[in-house]
Amino acid sequence: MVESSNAELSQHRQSQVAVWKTFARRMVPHIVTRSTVLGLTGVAGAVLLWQLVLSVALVDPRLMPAPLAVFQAAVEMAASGELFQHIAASVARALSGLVIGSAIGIAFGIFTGRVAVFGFLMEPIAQLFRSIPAIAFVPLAIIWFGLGEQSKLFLITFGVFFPVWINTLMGVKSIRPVYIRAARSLGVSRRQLLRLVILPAALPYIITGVRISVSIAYIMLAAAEMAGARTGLGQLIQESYLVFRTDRMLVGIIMLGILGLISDRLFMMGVRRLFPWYGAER
Amino acid sequence: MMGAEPLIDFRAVSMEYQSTGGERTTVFRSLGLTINAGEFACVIGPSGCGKTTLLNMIAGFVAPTSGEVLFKGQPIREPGAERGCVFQEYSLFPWLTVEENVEFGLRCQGVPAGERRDLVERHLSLVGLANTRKKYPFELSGGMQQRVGIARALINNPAVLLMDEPFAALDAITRNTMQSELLSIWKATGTTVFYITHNIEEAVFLGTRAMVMSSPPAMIAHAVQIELPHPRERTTADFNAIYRELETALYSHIDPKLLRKS
Repeated sequence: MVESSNAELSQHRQSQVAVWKTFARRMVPHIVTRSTVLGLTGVAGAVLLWQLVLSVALVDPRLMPAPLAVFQAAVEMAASGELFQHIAASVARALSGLVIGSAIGIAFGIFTGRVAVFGFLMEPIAQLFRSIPAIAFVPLAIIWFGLGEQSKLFLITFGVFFPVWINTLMGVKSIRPVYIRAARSLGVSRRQLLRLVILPAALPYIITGVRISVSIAYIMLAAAEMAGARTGLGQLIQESYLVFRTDRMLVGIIMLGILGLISDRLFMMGVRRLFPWYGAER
Repeated sequence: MMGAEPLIDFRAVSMEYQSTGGERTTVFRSLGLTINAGEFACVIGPSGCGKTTLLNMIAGFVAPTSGEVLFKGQPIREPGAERGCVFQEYSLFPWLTVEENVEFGLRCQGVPAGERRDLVERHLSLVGLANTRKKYPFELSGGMQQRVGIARALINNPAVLLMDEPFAALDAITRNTMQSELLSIWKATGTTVFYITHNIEEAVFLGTRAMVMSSPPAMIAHAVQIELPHPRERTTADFNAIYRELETALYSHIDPKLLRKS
């Protein structure tokens, strides 16, 4: 009885090993490319330089902690689960603001791009708001919505909205007339035209707008959370500032960077999967 | 009975453009032209003579300043699926696959998917592209893209196929192949073709009628009924005689200023 289960176990292990070997054989050449190796070398070099500067310049570690100290702080925070709470709260905020802001931006872009009156009506407003850094609205948003989730959602949505709007508008305006003519002579109705031609034809511009907005969402997120929140990476940075914990501050700062990077990669992966023609269209 | 009424009828059509400088250009003045069902009508003219405007009026993209263009006896007000278009410039929807491009017209009319598939298959094999259904336009050559464009227009079973220099951007060999294939498609479908070109040889090779347009204000300066049976040989004496006749007519009606501009 015991023997047979042992045999089963070792068989199971062997099959698992086989799975991992196949996985490694297939994936390693994709992951270990020249660019990833060089990229990681660059990161390692930067960390080393950081360490080197600290040991040469004899900086007070309370002002600028060593990479290892920051890593230790990160491990501690990860072990207590605190780090993931901050990440989860921040990602949820960034994502909901991104979705809502993009949806409104796309709708506005199509509306102002297709209905000439609204285009002229909104253009000066768009130009004006475009040159206002959205973080200038942080105090106002707090007066309006308080320190809760509402003000964060508002600020991120607001920051995301403008690039998406402007890019969608440009996309709609730059649709080649021959697409619309072709569609019309194929019998498209006015309502179908929006869904079947205008939206997909403007999509490359919309994608650019949303991509810009992914990074803007994180800027707004950090600003909004630093102004006051219970959780979130911005709050972590701000709270660590109050207790003079630069190591924890740096954990928050670096996490924001990593999240931004991962979000952009994921977004572009999704785009390539959903729209295989993206980048190849004329 | 069908022969009594032309498929397309230009009645005293005038067309004027006002340039941004306020200058008025008359493209047509009181132009008359009829196209009968089943014809392969070619219009030859130099660049800038307004032949595309002619096509755009049939398509319903532009309206004449005065006069009217009748289609099956009714004035043309807007584009419609019964007047299919094949453009010179790249016009396939880049976000759709070949198959989705071809079925676009059927989708607009709400034809169910199963029925669409059969028709797409039939029309893609008609243009010799049965195994490119899942490709995107950017993966196709220029000639293949134009074939898809033809299939896309034909799937609506249009009464007339409007073609605006469809093969002008192709290399000479591909162009010749496409011309022959277009003729077999025209024979197979029995559709009417209205074909714009600046290539006399192409018009003589394809058309059952070739018309020469003059410089603006343009009119049909000369028209030849071409009775030669298809497929035609480009080097026969009959072919050459028609070529020469059209060439003479073309150059005697071109404003020399237009020639120097191009």
